[in-house]
Amino acid sequence: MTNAPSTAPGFLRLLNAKATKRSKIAYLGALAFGAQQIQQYRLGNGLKVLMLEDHRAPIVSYNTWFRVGSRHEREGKTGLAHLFEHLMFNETKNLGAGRFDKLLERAGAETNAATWNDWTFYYENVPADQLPLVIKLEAERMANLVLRKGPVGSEKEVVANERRYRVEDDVSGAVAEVLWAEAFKVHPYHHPTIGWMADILNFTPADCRAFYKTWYAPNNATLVIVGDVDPAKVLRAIQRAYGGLSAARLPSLDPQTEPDQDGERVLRLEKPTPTDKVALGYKAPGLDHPDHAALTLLSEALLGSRASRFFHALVTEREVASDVSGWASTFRDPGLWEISATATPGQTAEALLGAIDQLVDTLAATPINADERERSLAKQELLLLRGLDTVGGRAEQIGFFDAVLDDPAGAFTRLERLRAVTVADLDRVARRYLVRGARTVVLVKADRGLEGAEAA
Amino acid sequence: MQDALTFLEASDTLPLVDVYFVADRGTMYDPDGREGALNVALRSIRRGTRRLSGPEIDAALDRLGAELTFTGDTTSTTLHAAVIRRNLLQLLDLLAEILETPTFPAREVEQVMREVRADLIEARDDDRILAARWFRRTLFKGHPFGRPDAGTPKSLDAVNRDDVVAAWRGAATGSLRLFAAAGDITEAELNGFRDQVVGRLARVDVTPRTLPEPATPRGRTLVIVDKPARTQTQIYIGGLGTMPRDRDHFALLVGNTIFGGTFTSRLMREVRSKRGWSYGAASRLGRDRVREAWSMWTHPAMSDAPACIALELKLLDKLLDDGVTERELSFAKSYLVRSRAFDLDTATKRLWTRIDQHLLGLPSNFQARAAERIMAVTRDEVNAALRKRLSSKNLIVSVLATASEARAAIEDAIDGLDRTVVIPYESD
Repeated sequence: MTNAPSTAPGFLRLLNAKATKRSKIAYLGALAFGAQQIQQYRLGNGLKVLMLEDHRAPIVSYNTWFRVGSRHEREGKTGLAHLFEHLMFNETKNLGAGRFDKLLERAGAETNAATWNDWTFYYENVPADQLPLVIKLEAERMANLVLRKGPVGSEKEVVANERRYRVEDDVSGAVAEVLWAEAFKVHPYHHPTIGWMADILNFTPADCRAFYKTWYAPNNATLVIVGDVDPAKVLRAIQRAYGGLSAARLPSLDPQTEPDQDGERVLRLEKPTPTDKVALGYKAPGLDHPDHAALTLLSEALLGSRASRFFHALVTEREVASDVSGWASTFRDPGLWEISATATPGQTAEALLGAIDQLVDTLAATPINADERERSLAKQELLLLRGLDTVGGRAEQIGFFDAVLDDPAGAFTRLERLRAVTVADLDRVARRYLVRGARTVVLVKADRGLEGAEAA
Repeated sequence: MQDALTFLEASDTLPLVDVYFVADRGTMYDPDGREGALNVALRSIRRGTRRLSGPEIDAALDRLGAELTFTGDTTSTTLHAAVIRRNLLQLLDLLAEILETPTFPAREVEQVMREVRADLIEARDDDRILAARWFRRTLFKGHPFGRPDAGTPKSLDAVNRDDVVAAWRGAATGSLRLFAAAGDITEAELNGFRDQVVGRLARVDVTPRTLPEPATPRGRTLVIVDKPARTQTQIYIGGLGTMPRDRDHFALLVGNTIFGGTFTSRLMREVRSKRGWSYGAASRLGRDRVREAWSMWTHPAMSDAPACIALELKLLDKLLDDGVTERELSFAKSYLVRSRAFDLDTATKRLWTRIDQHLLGLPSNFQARAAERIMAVTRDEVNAALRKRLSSKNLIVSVLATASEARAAIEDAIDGLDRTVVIPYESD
């Protein structure tokens, strides 16, 4: 995707006439985003602003993406990035506890946040006339969050509860955590984003203040604004709200590279679940790697739908699994190609793993064909389009690709890459990444007493 | 064609089309003891037509960049297909074939039955679903809302292929059928699809069933869904709400918003913000042709569950005794009216607003007037609706927990508890 020809909008001269060094806005050019355009700006303090005008509905999605996630955490302090997803809705210097949400809800806003390995993002979807309020509130919490003992303690309890919900009492959550922790021994992808329970319970307000000071700064953030906006007015409001903030000295982070895996790792778990399960993690490249698109299509061809090869064989033909799915991780650094399968009642995890391995082995003799490639590509195209249906969906796509690949139009760049994948590429990545010696396996044994109860 | 309406929300924002076939017959038409027949039918319909086998249909859908789902709830059946615009006409041909000539091969139907059984077992992994299921089964005992839409292993044993075929034909030729689409599609294309399909669906006489009014629960009933090795609980507490046609529906909607409908609601503030007991804390007012459920949901740790339940009941008492404040009323109205922008911001959402209105038998201007009616609600009306519709004395408390560890403390936390029922979590 090439940059569209672009010149700096005339209104910038006016906005910058009395601007300080920090608040001065630079124009970074336009980027084609499908049939639309993303306009890119940067304030003097490093804050990046990506804007996409869309006047079809009187609403706006406002995203703030921070380039910090669990990848930036260290041993003993895991889960801090995710805890901030909660703490950021609390008290600030100029807003009492609960005021942030109250003001936004009164404005009719949908608001929430998410954290993963490489990023944390906050969003508000609001009626267009409420955007100035959002800008003011987001700037306030980027600079003036108050982190006191009481509220931090309360949010730690909430996160501990969330962890019980998503991990301790959830089989698939627990299995995914074990899989990644076993597959990565030195790289921080070893840690779960929600954090280890002991770490969550031990955070102090001082830990939180240090994390906030380090990472929540304009030069580590990107604003993404999509919807019914007047760019000049929005930039003026952003300049006023954020222009006084100072850039932080960001740590130069270079996570330890995960050494090549020197053999298959197999773990066995017993869980109070009615059926056996299998989770496989093959080492996979980062999102920006040239092979990632081919691996995504391969995963779709093997596991993406009822007609996909593995699903059809395991669920429809042999009935050894009731469900099977796959996902090539979309992280900055090399991650995993996960395959998850649930055994049908009466089948064992070992038998299911054997069936999967048998199918993997047949790929060498019967690689993915042109029809399977076409089908997988069409499904991926549908997936992309569905993600762009709402202003919130478009803002998220822009923010995600900017945060992970520094390419705000990455969704469409990726579509081009997917289209360029050949059947030979699919064969090559299957051989390169479906390597038994570089995979981690989690076999979940069901509580047999429970299965017996069903059979009776 | 009175019984085959078309609803269109055209939009060329994206080269994407969503197509729906909706009928006003659902799982309440499953014969007693053979619950799950419609669900099996809906999963079997794509497993073979006169011309194509199941795998050929699956591959054709993928090739078109399309997805196809069927869902059946108590009162309606929905087919939904999404497709990339350039393949729309081929998809409509395929859908027409699936709707007109499903063959329900016996082998495929048997396999679907096995798949459904496996899914029913697998659903036991989801604690929230289990707590919600037994809340509804207890609240709506003897009512169609309390029936298992997907059936149970026992009811599926009684379902045969004839039941499955009859369930599909009954749903597909219901008294009301909507052919609806949103996205990059023209009226002529949608009408052509309807005309192609509707004439070929043979009419089947099905005695219409009336959805009865559910009975209000009597007393306080505790249902413990007993599952081993839990670190936390899943809790649903509630009773009946309103139906949209009720004069006080919007008043209750506003009252629910104040109580548990937003992130700053009373329930969220007390349970999560102040005490950190539960990540999620919300209340919800269901919608259907008759009174649906009103319920609150939390999921505290096992050790916090008794206190959390006691607090929720106290908050409900306070809501009913003291009512809401003018300030809360003003806030809730502002939130509800302004956030409606997100109910209508895409063609699919606008389409579903219309479909929903039609299925519920509401006036055609119901949604259009919703903001006006919300703004007109007074504090007295909200308080009257809360007292008339909700009760803290007659309700169901459904708790998924490890009963041996939690039962006594939870029973102690519920004043005036009338009865306790313990359901093993693997019960169907």
